[in-house]
Amino acid sequence: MTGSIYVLAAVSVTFLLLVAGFIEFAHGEVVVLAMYCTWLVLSLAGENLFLGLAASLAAATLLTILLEPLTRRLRHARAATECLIMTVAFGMILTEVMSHSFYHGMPVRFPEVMRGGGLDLAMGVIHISAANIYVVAGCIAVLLLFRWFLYRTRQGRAMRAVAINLDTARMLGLPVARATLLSFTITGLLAGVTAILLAMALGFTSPPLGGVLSFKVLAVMLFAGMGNFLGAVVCGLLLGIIESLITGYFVGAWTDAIAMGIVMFTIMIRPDGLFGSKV
Amino acid sequence: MAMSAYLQGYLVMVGVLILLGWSLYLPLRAGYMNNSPIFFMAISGYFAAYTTGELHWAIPVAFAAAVAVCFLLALLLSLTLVNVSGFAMAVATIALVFIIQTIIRNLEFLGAAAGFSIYSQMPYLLTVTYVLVVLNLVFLNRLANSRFGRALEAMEYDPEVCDALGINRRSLSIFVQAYSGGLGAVAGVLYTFNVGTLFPEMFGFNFVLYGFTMVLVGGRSTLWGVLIFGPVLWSIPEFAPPWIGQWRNIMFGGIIVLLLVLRPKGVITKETLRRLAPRSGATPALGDQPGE
Repeated sequence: MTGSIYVLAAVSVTFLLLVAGFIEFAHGEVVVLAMYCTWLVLSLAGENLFLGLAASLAAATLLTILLEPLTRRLRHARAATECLIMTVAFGMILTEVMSHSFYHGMPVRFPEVMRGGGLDLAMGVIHISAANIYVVAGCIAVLLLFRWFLYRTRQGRAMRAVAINLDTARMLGLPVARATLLSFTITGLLAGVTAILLAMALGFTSPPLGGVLSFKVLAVMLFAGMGNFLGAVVCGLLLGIIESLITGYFVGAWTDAIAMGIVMFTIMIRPDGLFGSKV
Repeated sequence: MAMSAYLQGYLVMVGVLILLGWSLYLPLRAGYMNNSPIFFMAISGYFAAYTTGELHWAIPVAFAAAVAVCFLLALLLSLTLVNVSGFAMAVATIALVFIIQTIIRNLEFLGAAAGFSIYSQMPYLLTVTYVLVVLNLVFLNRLANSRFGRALEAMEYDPEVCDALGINRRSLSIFVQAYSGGLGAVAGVLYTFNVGTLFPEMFGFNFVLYGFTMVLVGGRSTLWGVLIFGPVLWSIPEFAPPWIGQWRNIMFGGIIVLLLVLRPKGVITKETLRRLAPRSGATPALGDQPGE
């Protein structure tokens, strides 16, 4: 289940990297801020699920779009390191805002309506919560929809062309600036969906979650090979499985250290990732 | 007249941040965002705290051993990361920060999440800190104005030309990373004796934020920016009303974002130095444009 969240987030950031040539290090923080917006709207609007979900999508999309003008000059100058540092700083600002604005940074719990009503599905000795099923099904549905958009729509094809060769896309008269802005919008929408699914999966949120998620998403991308969609899907699921195994077999909170150690080891022996870089 | 403990602590912290800033500046000059100095700060800090507190080593011995161990580790790390891209380096070294925090949080003999206190005080801490700052300033300044410094800068802007000129990028990269790891270790020991109690959370993103704010505001093409703007930036929330101090991280983050939008090269560039001191001999940085 965690793996499917990693997949969705890694695919979003990979998409932005391919189209806009920009690595968004603040993706996790945007997701967590959108989770807080959902929680806030649910609390204020009497647990109206529709408004809660809309708040998540709107917050994540607006924040991601804000990054477009902020990074434009650096992206045009191909200043990758500066872009990276800027998004790290942007993410930290979001984390601090959340820490100061919501219960002094203490975790907040989502109401049952965001947890699939607390329903469980029993298959013999195995119990799966309805929320977990919704999360996995939601991820698969969104990824299929995203694939359809990229391969079957005019805008999607234009964005793929920009990702494959910017100069040729420009020569063919494709609206590169519009495609770039749209890629930020779509990444924002995907971040909003990720926030909804993560809220369903965890049932709570807290400010430090954003930094950890951002980092794991980028680790998945490196693990897979930068810009490799298929690799991101496989490695996102793999990281989720590895983390579950570590949690099951090791005493203490070693999950992050061991999982990150494995990712680091892979980077050292295969700098282009398991599936090869496409950037 | 004896200096107050608060003022001494503040001045040592400024020195520590200058050293940390330089340890981040050096790899950045070669085009890498390398966060490993914070990892080495944690290792050297806990190493010095444990060996002086539990094993009763003399402070100078513990200091030297902590720096030596970290320098060797940094050398090993640089050998393994020498072929990776700039982005992979950034992520891999942030991974190290996560890993070391998790490890310390799980080790009871280092106090785990409850923290580890040291009761011995380092004599002449302030003097030692500023002697080390001056020594590093002299060394890094000579380095920056040497053939080595120019090669380092060229590495970022055109690696292929570097290869054509016969510059050994591999050795250069290994040296830079090992030195910046060692510098991070020095900052870590000084920080430990300044604060007295260590917690794993201390060696996290806060230091990444403070360090890069100093480097980017000051200007990443010269080491003077860190020296001048490090103390200024650290002093704003320190001496401002308490409510401003609470927003320190947002302020630093905001400064980075604004600066990268408005003036990505920072306040002090090589061009600025040439204008201020025409005969200083500062060679133009490859990215510096007149008028910036």
